[in-house]
Amino acid sequence: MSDPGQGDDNGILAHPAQNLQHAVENCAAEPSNPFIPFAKAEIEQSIPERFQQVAGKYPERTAVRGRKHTLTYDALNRFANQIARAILALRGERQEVIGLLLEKDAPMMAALLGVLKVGNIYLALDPAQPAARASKMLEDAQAELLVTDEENLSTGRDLARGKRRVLNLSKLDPSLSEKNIAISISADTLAYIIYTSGSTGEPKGVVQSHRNVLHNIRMHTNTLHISAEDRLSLLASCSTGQAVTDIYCALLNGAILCPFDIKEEGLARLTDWLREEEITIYHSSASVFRHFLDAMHARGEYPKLRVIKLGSEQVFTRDIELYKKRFPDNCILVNALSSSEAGAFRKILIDKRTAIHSKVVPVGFPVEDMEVTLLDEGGQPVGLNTTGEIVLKSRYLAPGYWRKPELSKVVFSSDPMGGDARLFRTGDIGRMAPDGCLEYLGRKDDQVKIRGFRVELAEVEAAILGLVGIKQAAVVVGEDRRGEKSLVGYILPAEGSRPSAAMLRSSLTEKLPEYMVPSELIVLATLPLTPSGKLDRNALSTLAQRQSERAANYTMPLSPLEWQIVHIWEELLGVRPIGVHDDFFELGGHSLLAVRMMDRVAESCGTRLPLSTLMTKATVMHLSESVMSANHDKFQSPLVAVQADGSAVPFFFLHGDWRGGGFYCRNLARQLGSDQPFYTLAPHGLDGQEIPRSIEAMAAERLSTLLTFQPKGPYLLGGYCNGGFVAFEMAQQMQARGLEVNVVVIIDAGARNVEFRWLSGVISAIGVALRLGRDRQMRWFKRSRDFLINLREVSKAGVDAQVLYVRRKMAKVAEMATRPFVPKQEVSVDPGYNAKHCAYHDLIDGYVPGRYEGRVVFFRSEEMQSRAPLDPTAGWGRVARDVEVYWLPGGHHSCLTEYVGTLAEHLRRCLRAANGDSRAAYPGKESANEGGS
Amino acid sequence: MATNVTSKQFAMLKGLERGEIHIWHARLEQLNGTAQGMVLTLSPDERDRANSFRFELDRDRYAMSRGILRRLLGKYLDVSPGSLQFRYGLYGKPYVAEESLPQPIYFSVSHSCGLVLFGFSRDQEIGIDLERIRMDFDFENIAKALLPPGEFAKLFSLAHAARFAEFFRLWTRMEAWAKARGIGMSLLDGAGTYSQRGEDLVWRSVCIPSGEFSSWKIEEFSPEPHYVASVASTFSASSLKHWKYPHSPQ
Repeated sequence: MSDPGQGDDNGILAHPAQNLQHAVENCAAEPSNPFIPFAKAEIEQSIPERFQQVAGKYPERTAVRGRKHTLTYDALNRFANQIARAILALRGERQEVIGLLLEKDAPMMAALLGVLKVGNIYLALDPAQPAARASKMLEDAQAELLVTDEENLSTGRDLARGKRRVLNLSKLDPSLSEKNIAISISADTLAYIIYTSGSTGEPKGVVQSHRNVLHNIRMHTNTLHISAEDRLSLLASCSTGQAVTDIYCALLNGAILCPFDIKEEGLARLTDWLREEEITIYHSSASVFRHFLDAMHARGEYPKLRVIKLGSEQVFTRDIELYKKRFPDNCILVNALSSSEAGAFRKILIDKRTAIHSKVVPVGFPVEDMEVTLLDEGGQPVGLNTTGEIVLKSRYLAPGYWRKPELSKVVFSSDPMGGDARLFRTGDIGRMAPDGCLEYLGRKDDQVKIRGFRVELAEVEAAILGLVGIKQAAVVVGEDRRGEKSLVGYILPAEGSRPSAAMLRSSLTEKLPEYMVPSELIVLATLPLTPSGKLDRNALSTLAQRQSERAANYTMPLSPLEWQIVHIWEELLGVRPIGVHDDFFELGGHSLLAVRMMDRVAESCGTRLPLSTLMTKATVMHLSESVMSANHDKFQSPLVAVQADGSAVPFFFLHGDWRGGGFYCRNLARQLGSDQPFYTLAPHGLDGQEIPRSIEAMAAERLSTLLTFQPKGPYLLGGYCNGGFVAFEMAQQMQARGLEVNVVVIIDAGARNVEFRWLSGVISAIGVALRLGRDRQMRWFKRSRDFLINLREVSKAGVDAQVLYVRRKMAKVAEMATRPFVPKQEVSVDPGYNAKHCAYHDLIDGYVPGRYEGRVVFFRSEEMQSRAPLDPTAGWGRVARDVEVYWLPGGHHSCLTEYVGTLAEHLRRCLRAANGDSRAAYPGKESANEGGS
Repeated sequence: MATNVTSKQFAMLKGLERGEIHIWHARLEQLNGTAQGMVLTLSPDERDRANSFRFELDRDRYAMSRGILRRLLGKYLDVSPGSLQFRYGLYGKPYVAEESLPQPIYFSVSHSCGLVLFGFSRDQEIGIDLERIRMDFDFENIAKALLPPGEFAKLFSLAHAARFAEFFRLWTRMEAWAKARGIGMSLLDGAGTYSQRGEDLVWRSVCIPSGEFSSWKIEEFSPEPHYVASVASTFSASSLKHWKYPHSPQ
């Protein structure tokens, strides 16, 4: 922030990350650190040349510490020389591709060095990968020789199929010379092929030269000050580009390379291993890093760890926060953007002081000799803060794809400006901040349009990760039978958390525009990873395909009643998520379970439906509608005795469930105990009648019902959602009439407009003078209020912007105040639902609670979103004399269904306390006649 | 107990005679190899139905049992399995559409935990029901609804394991009877706690062969250990034959 030209508005970082280089230098500059800068001239040689220099310098130092083999630099070099000679003996001097089928251990390192020493190209194969894929690669690479060992011999022979020769390292002729080989290899020579799976799924082979490898290793060495004192982790499979960096960063600097096989040994062991091996430079994909964070026990376990290197997958701010909490102060985090075709070409160093203002951590700043331009679809450069494809210009790009000249021509091209640098279309999407910091926004192929809106999957993933109880999230695109694209979110819950998809979805709806909320959220036990430890999006896409076909049918439960039924189904069937159109039998239900299910529904709704209800349609919605229509008569009465017995002061509860009939109250009343009489007052509209035009009018109507039923106080009032507002308003009207109200319980409804009471006062005064109707006044109030809120937001910006804004808005407000109100349309299958939903929303939005000199007990669900995020009373504290707040587990609906026990427990205590206040004064229930007015 | 049938014997299988009830049972996981061929004989609506199941297991179970049903019916009616057309009764019980029916045939299918049971007759409607005796199933409320109070008490006086076996035995008798009548689960709508009349109806139908119910015959058997099954019919079958469906029929 202190840096001029890098203010809050245009930078992603508050802490100039480039300057962090000195942090690396400080921490690596300890007396023991023998870091030797990698000179640029040194990239004009071959990999084995550099390796042999290092091996000559540190012969007795450990080079590789694998699971089965540990070799010193000298031993590794001698082994590599023998392998090189064995290859020469078998194949003579010719440039060709040689396959390596070996575990990720010292012999693999010796073999790849051996291949390089004779000027050949290696293709490292992972014995754990499917044989079909390995065979396809060998075929495409035209490898004639396969190097393996006793352990992998049978797989090797299968892959060779008699067409290729097999060199068994376990039976290597011991008489072969261990001396360095005098073959001179130019820096242009090709070193290896790495197959990456393209978007089409057809793997393509990237070839790299010795010079390019050295260029990349030089950058890493000089940035991170890698020295012979370092211990580098090797977590990725040797067949990946990630491994190339780790292997040579270690072996070309005299450091120790420590391979660890996650698949074999498990992630759980990784934490211990890192500590035991005293790893100083950790490198993995962000996915693996999240697992690592998850498995860590406490801070301060890794005193030796000085660098955490992530790359090629989006890193989220949350990952950085965890890094800051759990790693020592001298440990920095490096995020880089790299590709097999170019090595790392963008990097950012992050330490404890770096503040990042975007959800996705940027990939930062340029790497020497790697120039980034962002192009639009027409190939024109885009401006700052605009997304475009990342195109790289450099002299150190891969020569091309192995035996794919057409593809190479599309992806690589010569620089139209002349010069010997070439251009590489990365297929990555990025956005450049004014400070030159690049944000990586995912693969171009992952870019999707959902119903015409462009969606960045990373943004959706970041939003999911921001919810409580999520360890990992991946969002992929699925296509239903009609070819309609939809988002499918896969979620790995955090330890001990059991999120339900429906709950997650409802909280996401608060954070994201509707089109960005995945239409299906699926909780998985693990997420599939690729050999390099990245999230395997292809595997998820295949899964998503199937999900989407079904997802076209998913509809979230909308009323507490539907939630109750979904909850019963989830318990009986063990299936999540369940939408309201899902069929009981298609989810695995059978007749006996159906009988039990109907029993449970009867128990929680007090309505026993015939089993033949399921014959017509066994969906949640059909059941809920059947329950509603079976109770049609009951809904005609605004006051219903859920539990008439009991000696305590009766509790009158505005259940607010205009869609589902408030059946959840049965369970709530039961849990409050048999001594607590419990009456519900229905929300308007449940009886099919018109909805009054204001909360005040609703309250007045329900109050008259209540007073007919029980003319004398004291009263215990409560309400859920819209019922909460009505209850509060009733209490005020009762107070005005001098009636005694002991408590008002408000469940999951935040007070609105409390800071605009003055405005409402002004408007109603003017309104009376101008004889404006109640509706007009409310409309006027809302517009003025929204205007003031916006103004407050804008006031944070500059003065010019404010003036402009005010001018523009004034004109608009003047115009709008005279225009009729048209409610916003919401997407739903049920038009009746929409009309009522809008009406309620509109009334609540315009309700201005007055001052109440009494007691409010406020229950809020964990997921409740309030307009006053810092106020635990969600605004009620500003209007009520005294407010007690309780937090409930779950969301707006599940706090009444799945977690009703917690609600009941607190409520029982509150009501008992309120009862105690008045038990003596309570005149008795002589007027209480069951059934209501 | 069921007789094992080899593929060859299956090919030479003789038809279904009047007065006979033929029962077949198949264990799905043993038939995996033939799933593909089975699916091919399904009608488009059956394939849609199969695809609407949430879990692969349920989908395969449905596809396999429909496929086997078509094969067996094809055998008995001497038509190709794929040409059969099904219609559905008011409560969802399938029957063979007349246009694909040379002579009438009645059948009933039931499945539970990987086992499928098929029953066939030439005479009248039959009902078959199969349940695995699940020791973790909470049936108290169902039993209360199903049984007269005295019988309920008797059931709950049994030892743990015997109580489960007895409950599932009674349940299959009841469901087999309901399926034979083509009313399926709606039978229970009249049961126990719902109405006094219903209580009598269910109980007598299942357990007391008298009055209106004297014509009903309900036979119990156990196709495999831990499973219990019942077959209900209105006629006295001269013979009840029971085979195990071959793993790979020709």
